[in-house]
Amino acid sequence: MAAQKVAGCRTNAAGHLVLRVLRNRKCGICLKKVVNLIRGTVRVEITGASPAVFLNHCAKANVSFWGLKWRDATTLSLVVPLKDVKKLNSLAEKAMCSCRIETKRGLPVFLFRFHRRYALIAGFLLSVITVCILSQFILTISVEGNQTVSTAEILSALRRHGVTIGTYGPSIDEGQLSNELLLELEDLSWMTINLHGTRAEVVVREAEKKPEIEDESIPSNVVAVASGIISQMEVLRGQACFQEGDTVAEGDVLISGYVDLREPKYSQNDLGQMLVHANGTVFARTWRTLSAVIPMQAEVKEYTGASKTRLYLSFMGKRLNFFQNAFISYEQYDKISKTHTLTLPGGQEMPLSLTLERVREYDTVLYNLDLNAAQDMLEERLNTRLAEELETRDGTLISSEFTAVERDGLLTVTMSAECTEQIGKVVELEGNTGYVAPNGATDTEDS
Amino acid sequence: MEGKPRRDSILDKTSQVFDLPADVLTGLPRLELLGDRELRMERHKGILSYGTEEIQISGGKMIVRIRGSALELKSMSTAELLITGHIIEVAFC
Repeated sequence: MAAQKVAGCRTNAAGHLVLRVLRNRKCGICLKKVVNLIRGTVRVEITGASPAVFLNHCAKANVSFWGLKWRDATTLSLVVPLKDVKKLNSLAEKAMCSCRIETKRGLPVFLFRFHRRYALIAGFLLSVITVCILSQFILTISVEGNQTVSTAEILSALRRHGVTIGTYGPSIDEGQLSNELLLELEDLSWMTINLHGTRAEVVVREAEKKPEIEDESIPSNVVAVASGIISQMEVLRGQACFQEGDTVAEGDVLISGYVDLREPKYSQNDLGQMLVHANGTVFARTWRTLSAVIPMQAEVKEYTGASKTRLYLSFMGKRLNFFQNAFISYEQYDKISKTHTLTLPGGQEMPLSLTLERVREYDTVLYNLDLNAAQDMLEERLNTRLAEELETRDGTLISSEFTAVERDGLLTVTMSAECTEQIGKVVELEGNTGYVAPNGATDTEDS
Repeated sequence: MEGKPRRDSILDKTSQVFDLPADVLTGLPRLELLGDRELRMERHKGILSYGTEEIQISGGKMIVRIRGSALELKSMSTAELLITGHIIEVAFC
């Protein structure tokens, strides 16, 4: 059983080998056909007493031939490369034969048909020259590797240095340009500009931002930025002036930079204070009142039906208008543009776009707002505003209520919200940190 | 019909003594037959007659006669030639 398997494997292997050889031979034949098609071939008919002698002369003269067809005892047909056709007449004369060209095939023969079509040749040459010249100009700029610095910022910096769509590529000094841009864009740490034909590739690496280091040599207090009831207090440095549950007003010092030095028990001496950079977080329950106003009558656009459509082509920043009169006679109008940019299959946009611009005239009419809808809109706006304000202070909304008043054609919505937020803010003091004697004299830490 | 036995030349003897390839030294044609369908001949001296059933080729010191059917001279150069078709007989005269 095992022997049979082995024999089967050998047969398979041999079969694969044969197939591979046949495939290679087929490829070789295909390649020959392609080469012959490119070189051009001629089928000629040789007539004479002894055409075989002609073949010997061809072999001696290094004229390769193939596709021999013996028509009769004195006539032979064969195929030779186009380049050797000129030799055939002299070789045929030597062999006492006559030579007649039957058919010509191949690329040179096909191209020879156009040798008198001067306009076609000129157009072809012009297109080749145009491609050669246009390929020297930048058509697309791609920016990679940026996250915080926007692509538009980098592209505008490039534009300031004269590199934009349509710039002549060989005139760009990539090294110098990237150095200049790095000096200009401080958020970038590395940049390289690669030119790939018509595509400029800008690869950047962003600089890591330095962490903000608090200067602890400057004395400070932590001051309340809003009134409220303290719910949580964490003193990192300094002396707490309030406790949890105390009520504070805006501007109160919550954590003082002046730390009292405690004297020994039963001592009558005042040891003075240490002036430090106070720091800490103070969370408090606060109450906020926000209000928003909207007129109950609003102006609304109403299209009259009159419109104009204008078409223009943009190529490398240049605009070609397909309309004559650019004047718009409408008093009030909307301009709606729809741009179709030429995009390559890979998604790369080319600097060629067609824009359809529609100008629609409108009149404004007064429209009475729905009271409930207007109130809902203002409440949503107030909620958004409060959320934005609380986000900066790590705050959360506990409860809120709204009141709406309509007076003199205006709707006023007021929001009263109870929140929890961080109300402590570091306020720097004059002087230096260090010991403060009871008489007011200071002694810095450095000394 | 048997002719005079061929005498070995000095080059033949030299190739035998020094064990050198005879085809290179003596200029004899080299024939490579692939089954009965392809014959490749190196160092030929030209075609003497050509037909679909018989081709005679000069090999310098001998004439190589190839008989068969649908014979075709596929390619030919000064150094070698290739004949394809159904080969029945290869004879040296």
